[in-house]
Amino acid sequence: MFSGIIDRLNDICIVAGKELRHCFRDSHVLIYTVFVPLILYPVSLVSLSEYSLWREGLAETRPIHVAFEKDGLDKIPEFVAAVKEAKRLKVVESDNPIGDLQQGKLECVVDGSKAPESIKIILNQASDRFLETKVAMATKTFEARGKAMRKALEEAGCETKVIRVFDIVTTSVGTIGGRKAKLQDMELTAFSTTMVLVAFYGYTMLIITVGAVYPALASFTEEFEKRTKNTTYMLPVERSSVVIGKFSAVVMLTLLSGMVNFFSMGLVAVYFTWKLDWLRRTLALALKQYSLGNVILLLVVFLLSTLLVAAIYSLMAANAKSFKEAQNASSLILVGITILPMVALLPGWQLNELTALVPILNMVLAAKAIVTDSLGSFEMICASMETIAVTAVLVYLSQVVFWGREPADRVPEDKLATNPSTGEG
Amino acid sequence: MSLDAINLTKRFFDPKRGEFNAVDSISFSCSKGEIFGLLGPNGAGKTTTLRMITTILKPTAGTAKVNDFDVIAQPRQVRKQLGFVSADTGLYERLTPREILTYFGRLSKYPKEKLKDRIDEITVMLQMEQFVDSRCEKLSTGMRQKVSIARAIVHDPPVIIMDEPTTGLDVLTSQVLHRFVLQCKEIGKCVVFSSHIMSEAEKLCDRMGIIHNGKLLAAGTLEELRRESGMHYLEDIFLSVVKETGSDVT
Repeated sequence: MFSGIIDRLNDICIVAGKELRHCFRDSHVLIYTVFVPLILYPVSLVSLSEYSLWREGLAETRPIHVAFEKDGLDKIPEFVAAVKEAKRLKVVESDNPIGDLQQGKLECVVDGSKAPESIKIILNQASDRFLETKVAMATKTFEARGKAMRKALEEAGCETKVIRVFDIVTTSVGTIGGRKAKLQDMELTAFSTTMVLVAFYGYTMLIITVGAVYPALASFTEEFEKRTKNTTYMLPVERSSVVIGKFSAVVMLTLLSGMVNFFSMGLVAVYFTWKLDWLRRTLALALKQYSLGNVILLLVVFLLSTLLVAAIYSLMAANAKSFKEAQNASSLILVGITILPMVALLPGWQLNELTALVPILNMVLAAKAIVTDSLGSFEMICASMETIAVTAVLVYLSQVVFWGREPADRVPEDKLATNPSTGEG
Repeated sequence: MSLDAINLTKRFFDPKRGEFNAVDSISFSCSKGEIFGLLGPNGAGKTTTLRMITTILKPTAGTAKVNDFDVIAQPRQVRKQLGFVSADTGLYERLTPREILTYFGRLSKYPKEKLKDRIDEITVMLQMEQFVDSRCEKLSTGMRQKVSIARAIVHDPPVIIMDEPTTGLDVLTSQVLHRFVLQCKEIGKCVVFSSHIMSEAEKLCDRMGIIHNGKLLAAGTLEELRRESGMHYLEDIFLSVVKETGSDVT
């Protein structure tokens, strides 16, 4: 019995080895598994960042032009001071501010005539710097409001410490037990967590999927298209060994694709952290959240997701009549697989006894639970077991549909075209 | 070492035609060092018969035994005894012939330590030295057929089944293949060879069976068939046998 298992494993390894060699010589596999993640992603992300930095530089050399309506200028000294102090804003004199705003000579006009009840900030929505101006002015408004409040309190002889109630300090739930580093800034916490979630769920599921498509197509559909299935069938090996061997190759190539993607993402992250100081701080905060155990759990989730996605594509490819049909079907599956991570990101979706039984969604929610430090052992075990079980069923079905299409079940093509009375082809 | 087909029958269902017998109770045998030819026009049932023997198709009735292994009860053992060559079997395009032979040799459980020598031997035998390390996608039809044959015999099977192996081949490559079939006979292999080319069958086969509309109409050596039909050329013998049974070969 033991030698039988060894023999079988040996057969699986031989098939997987052949598939790896065959797949690695396929241009589709090479492009989508290696070259796209290794070249396209870093190039496009770095280009985007360079573009953003260029825009940033442009903003510094070409500040946002702000004009004040002369009527009411003296009513908003804190606001005027805040705008004048800002590097990216430049106060300009204008006899006809609204007219200049309409002509694009200005980005913003401030009307303080009704202060202190209200300050009107007029923007030009047609300007390509509309959003930038809106954010800058909102920040300055907030800053000026604080200064004005402090001044008003001082003038009224009140204690200005009261303003500190607006200095909000937040910590994550994990910090209560003292297990985590304190996350002092709410924005950074939210940003870093979201960034990791998006990176893991969206991007990772996408790359797993893209990485699995062409190896699966090359391994299964080519057996039909190139008419090698009968010779494979003639081999004195278990049918399941052939399919498991093919599936193993798809898994290995998908994992490789994932690793190449992570390496590529790593390069991009290094580049960004070198360029952007705030990102370095954000990443440092994000990384502090993860213990070694969490990282290992994330890798387990990645491995399980890879197995499942590879099984889905293996079944799809084994069931397709041709490479083209499988290619079309893979697009639909791609949409399904990448939508679930997005659903899981919505508030309220958590890993529980029910969601643990939904394939893919459970893996995404497990990752979410790991990141937010709310993972329950029972749910994780349920989700893992369910994923392994579904993978096993899909691989079994791949075997059934792959070999089930043997000519024994249908009329061979030469017989279909034959006249029964004459035997003519 | 032998092959016995015993009342092999294969029934298919076609929505337009209903059920029909593609192969109707065919029996024949082939022993060690013998070449048995299955002759018949396209669609006669040759390929279906050979596919049942090679376990690719399950017989509806009857059975076949390869070295006493039953194709229905012991398909894996049967596959170990067989090498199957067909005109329409493909190759892994991005692998080289050597890689394909290694793959099939290893999965067919040919001793690993002897496999390299066996591949070298077959390479010389089939004159494949020039392209054994080129990818199959670059090979011509003749070269591909040689690789197909090499793949079928890499594990040194005692029984070789060839389904119209010379289809689409040029004269020179057909010659190499003919020499190979005769070599197989010399070293004691049992060879079943299907063809619709009568001259080829005349040249190679020790015994032959004429198959038409799924039925084996006549079987024997060329001399026996000549005696029975009173004709000399195999083509004439074939036509007379078919006419005798009231079949139409047009």
